Amino acid sequence: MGRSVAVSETVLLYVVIPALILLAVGGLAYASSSDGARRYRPGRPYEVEPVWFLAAQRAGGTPAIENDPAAARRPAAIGNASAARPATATGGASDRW
Amino acid sequence: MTAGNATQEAPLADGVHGPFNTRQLLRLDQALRIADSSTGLTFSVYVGELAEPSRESAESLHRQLAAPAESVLIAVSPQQRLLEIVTGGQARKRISDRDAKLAALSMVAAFGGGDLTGGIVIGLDQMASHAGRS
Repeated sequence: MGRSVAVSETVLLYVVIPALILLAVGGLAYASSSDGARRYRPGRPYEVEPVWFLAAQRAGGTPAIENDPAAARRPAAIGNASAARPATATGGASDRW
Repeated sequence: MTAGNATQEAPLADGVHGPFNTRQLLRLDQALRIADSSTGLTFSVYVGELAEPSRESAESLHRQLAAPAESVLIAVSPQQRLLEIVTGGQARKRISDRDAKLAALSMVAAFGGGDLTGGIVIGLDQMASHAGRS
C-alpha cells in the first residue's frame, strides 16, 4: 500500500506547479513579443507613422538608416519638391495584396 | 541620411515608432547597403500611407530623392495593401519594368503573409541581382 497523499500536496503538484509553469512560459512569450514594434497583420488596421529608409552615404558611425517622422507632413513636402524638380521618365511596377 | 531634401532630419528612434523592431531594422539596413554598394544605384524604402492616386504619390516621393534618375524607390502602404516600385531613368535601363514586376510579385507574397521586412529584403535582393554590378 502506498502512503496516502495530503490534499495540500495534491493541489501543489497538480495545480500550483502547472500554473507557475504556464505563467513562466506566457511571461517569456509576452516579453519577447513586446519589443516596441507593432506587428503588421494583413487586414488589420495599420496606424503607424510613415518611415523612409535610405542607406547611409556617410562613412562615419552614423546610423545607416533613419526614421523619418517628418514624412508624415508629406503633402506639403511633395508640393515643394514637385514644383522644384521637373518630372522625369520613370518605370517600375505596382501590385496589391 | 534622411530621404528627401524637403523633410527634416530626425535621429533613428529605437524601433518604437515604426513597424520594425531593432533586429528588422538591422536586416533592412544591411539589405539596403548591399543593394546600393553592389549596383551603384540608390535604393530607398518608404513604408506608410500613399495618397491617391498612389502611383503619382510614389513618383513624387521618388523625385524628392537626391539623384532620382539613379534611384529606386520601394513604396509600401500596408494600410492600403499596395506596393509601388519606382525606378528612375538610368535605373530603369538596368532594372526593367519586367524585373520590377517580378520583384513586386515576390514582395507581395511576403506582405500577404504579414512579413513586411522579409518582403522588402527579398525585393531589394532581387532588384539588385537584376541590376548587376555597377
